[in-house]
Amino acid sequence: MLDGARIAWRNLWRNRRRTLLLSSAVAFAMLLVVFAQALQQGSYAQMRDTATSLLTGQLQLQAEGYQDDPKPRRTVPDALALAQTLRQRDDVVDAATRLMVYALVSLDERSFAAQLVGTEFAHEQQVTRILQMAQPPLSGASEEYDADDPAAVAPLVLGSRLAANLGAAVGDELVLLGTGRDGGVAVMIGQVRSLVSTGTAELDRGLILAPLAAVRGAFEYGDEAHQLAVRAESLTVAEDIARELAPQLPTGVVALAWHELLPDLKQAIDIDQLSAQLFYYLLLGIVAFSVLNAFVMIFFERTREFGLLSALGMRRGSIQALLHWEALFLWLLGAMIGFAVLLPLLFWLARSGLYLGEQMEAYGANFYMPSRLYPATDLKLLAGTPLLLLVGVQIAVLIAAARIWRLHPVEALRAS
Amino acid sequence: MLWQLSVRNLLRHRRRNGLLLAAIVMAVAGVVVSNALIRGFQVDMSDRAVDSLTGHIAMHAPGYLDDPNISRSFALGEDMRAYLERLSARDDVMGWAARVQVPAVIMSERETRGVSLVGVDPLQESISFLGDVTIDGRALADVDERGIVIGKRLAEQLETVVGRRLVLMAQDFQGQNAEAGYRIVGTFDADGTGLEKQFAFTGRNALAALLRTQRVTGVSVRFIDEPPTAAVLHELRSRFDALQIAPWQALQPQAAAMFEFADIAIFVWFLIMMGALSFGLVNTLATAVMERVRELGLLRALGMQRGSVVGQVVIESMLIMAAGLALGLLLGVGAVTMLSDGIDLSRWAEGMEMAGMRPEIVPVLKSGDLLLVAVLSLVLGLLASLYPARKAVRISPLEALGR
Repeated sequence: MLDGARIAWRNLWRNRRRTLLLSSAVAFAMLLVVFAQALQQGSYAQMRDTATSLLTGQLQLQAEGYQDDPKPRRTVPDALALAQTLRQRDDVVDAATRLMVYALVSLDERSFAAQLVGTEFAHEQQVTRILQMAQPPLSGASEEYDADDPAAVAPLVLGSRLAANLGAAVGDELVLLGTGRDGGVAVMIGQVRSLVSTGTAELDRGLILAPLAAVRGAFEYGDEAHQLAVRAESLTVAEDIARELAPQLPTGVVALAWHELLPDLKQAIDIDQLSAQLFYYLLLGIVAFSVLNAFVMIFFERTREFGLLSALGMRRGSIQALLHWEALFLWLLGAMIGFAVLLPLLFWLARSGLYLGEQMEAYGANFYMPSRLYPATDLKLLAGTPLLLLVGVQIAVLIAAARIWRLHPVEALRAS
Repeated sequence: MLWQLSVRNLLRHRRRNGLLLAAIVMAVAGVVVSNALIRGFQVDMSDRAVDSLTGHIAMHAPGYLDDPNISRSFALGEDMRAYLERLSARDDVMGWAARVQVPAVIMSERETRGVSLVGVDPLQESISFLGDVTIDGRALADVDERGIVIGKRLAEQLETVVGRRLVLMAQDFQGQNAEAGYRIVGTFDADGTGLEKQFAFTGRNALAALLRTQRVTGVSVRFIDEPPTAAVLHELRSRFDALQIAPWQALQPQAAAMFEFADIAIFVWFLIMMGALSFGLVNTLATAVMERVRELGLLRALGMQRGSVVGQVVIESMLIMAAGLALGLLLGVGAVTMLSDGIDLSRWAEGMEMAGMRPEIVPVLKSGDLLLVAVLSLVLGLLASLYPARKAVRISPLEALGR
């Protein structure tokens, strides 16, 4: 069999121009598609990370039905204990207990509706980035909020647009008005401690963070939470934890992984991937066609040669195998050229990133798209296209070489 | 005679040229369809931006866009009104609309939300999405309408329905909190997009009463097709220099960015596809030349000029490219026509919305694009023939005949 391989290799170089053209075509397609996929996968990973690390967390425990219909009474009971159990796990970095309420926030004559998030600042900072983005930066002093002290004023972190709309600055006292857990009017006084600018319009316009204890007291909640947000070692680990926890949780409590928490992000990624694949297949199809064309030409050029080989006793299958070897080497050549260009490019970009420009920066923030793309360098992910090309090239040979089985040695020898 | 030679050569090797033709057709059709899809996405982006209350050109008081407060408003004077009416009478203008748009708090019996409260003249609103949406209940009657129309999703969030009352609270012209009750006369369906959560509409005069001013916060102008934006902007800006007048691209920079990105995507994609095709094209042409070394040598010996040999190779390449182009365009246009009802992407509706798009793509064919494909393909045909042509020219008659 190896003899066949050697002959095939030499055959390739009998027509150097064609071999180079074909392997360049394979290299071209492979390079482009693999590069594009690397950037895609890289950007998806970045988007998932950015989205989940902003405010959602990698995993959340919620009352069943809360995600679709966030009613104030749909809470997770015994939140403190549950949070502690989560934190004790080796694969969990931290967990934050949260209460989410709609409130009217007022400063002097201006009022706006806002989403008030009561959370434990110290834990929140380990689970998400939002508090770390606060300007001026939060120090330990801001978390010193004594819920039992009736004169204590809760420190607030406001979305920057909300603050601008209210005309509020750091140090201003705001009044928050809302509906308590059981329907009564709830009032909370807070002092603007810091502002946060996320780039996401919805958050910047409507988010207020306050200590969990303050919200709990003002809105009359007990040891319960709307969300337990968790950060694990990685997003994949978080998905595993969600699956593992599901049967262990008390009734009425569910564990939601990122794609359930951010279904719009998942869908956006899915459809992007789907539409890109259509483009890739079209490109690969064109290259496969060119290869098919070339092998048909090869076959007809070498009809005499095949006739001779057949007359000398070589089996049809072996002749066909010869062509398959040639196709394999072509692919190998193409892969080598392609990856010779691709690998340095990928590794360089993996370090410096691909800057998409200012416009993308502004636009992308709204759906977690980073302004600097880092390609994925997991070669397992990227091996799909080369393999697909290999299969495509071999199928091209199969089609082109079908005629070998109808080859009549005498006629073939007479062919010019 | 060159043409005859070329055609004959092509027909001599039907199988291989047939395969090449098929590859060209596939590439061209593929480019046409993907172009149409990207254009459809682009048109969708700009439509959404223009349909939302922005219009093609929007006029605001300075500072309103950063701080959408009623204090940042302007008077809709008689001369402005007259001018806009005249503008509206033009063939290419769809219309204009003046609005009062302020942030407000909307409260139902159960829930509280923030919205953008918009006072409109319903008769002017054929220029925006409000003129197109389906409404449960009834639409706003006129500029004095005191009822309110909100989006379906907002109604769901507020746990309320048509017929119930809502309280709206906003800041009036004096800077005081103003509050009034409104009855919901209708809820609108905007395909589940953010528009359903963002807006609450009422009659402009009714809102003027609440905010205690007749001033408006914005005027938008909409054209029918391609807007002569630059010319109209210039005219408006010189006439009403106290106002901030901007095209939709400035007001919705994200949509504008995606819009431009689509142009680049189309061009890059075309280059890639044609690049992939070029390998096969060059290969086939070069093989064709090499096979005919003897024939070409003979022709040269018989006195055919070098230029003619090159010309013959080039014509051969252009011919097959043109044939593939014609068929590919036909196939591509046919495919796009079949998809003209739009591709339903409602399975990914929320994802599409996140990127600012509708859950349905309608491919759009622009004659400019097709022309570009045609021209660039023929240029490719030309470039691809250069290498084989060079080889053909180098054939020395003596050597060739000696073979």
